[in-house]
Amino acid sequence: MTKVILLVEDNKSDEKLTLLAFRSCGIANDVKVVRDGAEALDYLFGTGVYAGAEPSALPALVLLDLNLPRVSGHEVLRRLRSDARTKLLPIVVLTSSNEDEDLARSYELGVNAYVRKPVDFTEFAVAARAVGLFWLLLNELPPAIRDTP
Amino acid sequence: MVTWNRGAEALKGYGSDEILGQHCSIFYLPEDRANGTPERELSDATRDGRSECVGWRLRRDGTRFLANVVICAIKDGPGHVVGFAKITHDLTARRAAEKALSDANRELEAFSYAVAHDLRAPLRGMNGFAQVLLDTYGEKLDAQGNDWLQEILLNAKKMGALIDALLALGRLTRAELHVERVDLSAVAGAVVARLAAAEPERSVEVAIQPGLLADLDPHLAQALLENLIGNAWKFSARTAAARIEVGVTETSGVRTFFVRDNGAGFDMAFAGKLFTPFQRLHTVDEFFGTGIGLATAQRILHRHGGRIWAQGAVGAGATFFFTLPEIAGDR
Repeated sequence: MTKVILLVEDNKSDEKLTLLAFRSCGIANDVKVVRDGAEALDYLFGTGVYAGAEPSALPALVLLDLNLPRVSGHEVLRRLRSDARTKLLPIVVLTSSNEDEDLARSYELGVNAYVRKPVDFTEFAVAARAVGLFWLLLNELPPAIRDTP
Repeated sequence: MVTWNRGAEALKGYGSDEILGQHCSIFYLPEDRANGTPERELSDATRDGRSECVGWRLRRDGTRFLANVVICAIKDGPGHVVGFAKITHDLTARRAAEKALSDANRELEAFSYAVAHDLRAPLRGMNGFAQVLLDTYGEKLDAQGNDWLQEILLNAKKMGALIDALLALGRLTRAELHVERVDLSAVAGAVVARLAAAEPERSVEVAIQPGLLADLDPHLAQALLENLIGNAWKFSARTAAARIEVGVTETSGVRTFFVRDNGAGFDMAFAGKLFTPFQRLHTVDEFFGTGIGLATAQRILHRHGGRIWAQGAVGAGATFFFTLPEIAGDR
């Protein structure tokens, strides 16, 4: 069974475009979309609205926007990296910003990759394809993450 | 004090009856009096004829104000100092206005920055769905429909380039300067190599004078030459035997760098508009651009205390001259 991709994205147009980009290059994983940082944390840790639900398997990959309502992308990153369960989870920041401060902060907080969303859809599709192929197929995960259900 | 005018009375609160005969150290803060500041300023004025400083002073009621003080020594015929004339300007209002202005500027920067960022997301939506529409339903549309979709994509692309240029311009203003000795010839060479690699079909003769050294921030040096040489590269695209020259000359005794091309040139009547953001002297269809490159170059030079200006004629190329303050040291 293929694992899901967790897309943390508050903009519905960007969500549809990301899904279209994945489909256009044949990435077939289910994509779970959450709308803000707080929901992302609840989903991954089984808290809040996800409390009591069957604990969901860790996603294969988290695609994280930075500018999010309630809990920011950087805060999500900090919380995920400081928890043993998600410390090694592959997280790729997918954002409009290419500010040095955002880049530096993301890497300091332990992000695995940082991709700027291009305005041009063709370029966006190329970027999404590259991210998908690399993190879902090419990259070897540490055993602690690879072997969790 | 031997004379005391109304301006002084209004500023400091003393009437002439109570101040005449007093020593001017009465206006200084106790700590300045204790460390001999009043005497030092008078002895500086005695030695140099004039001294000027900015510091805190006291009014009659004990409140402080920030002052610019100029002291001039008054000399008799043989040149002996017989007294001092002292002019005090209250800087409080100016200081407050400067702070308000710099706060407003910072706020405006932050605002335009946020706007530019937030504009990208909806733009990506417009461009993205037009592209998906074209990819998915392009065959069902006739040529006219396809053309209109292309227009949407083209305009979205232009707007994207504009937003990126705006963001880059904003970033220049906020970034801290780290000035060091930079080899502009080497930077220019790298810029030309990148331009040539991006458009291998173009044949441009490039002459870069070796050993062009200047004192500026290396990142901004690159942005500066990318804009100026990129400009020359772009506007010589329709010129047979295009030529770009980068070198140094002297104008009124000041080392002046230049970037010259033999391209489309411009009408000197509009030279003042060249450096205004979004002002373009050619249509976007003639030469694609955001109208922000030269504004960026100018802002980089202004931040370093330098200048930029241009000379040109329609159809006869353009030369951009710039100066940068030299930091002590041999070249």
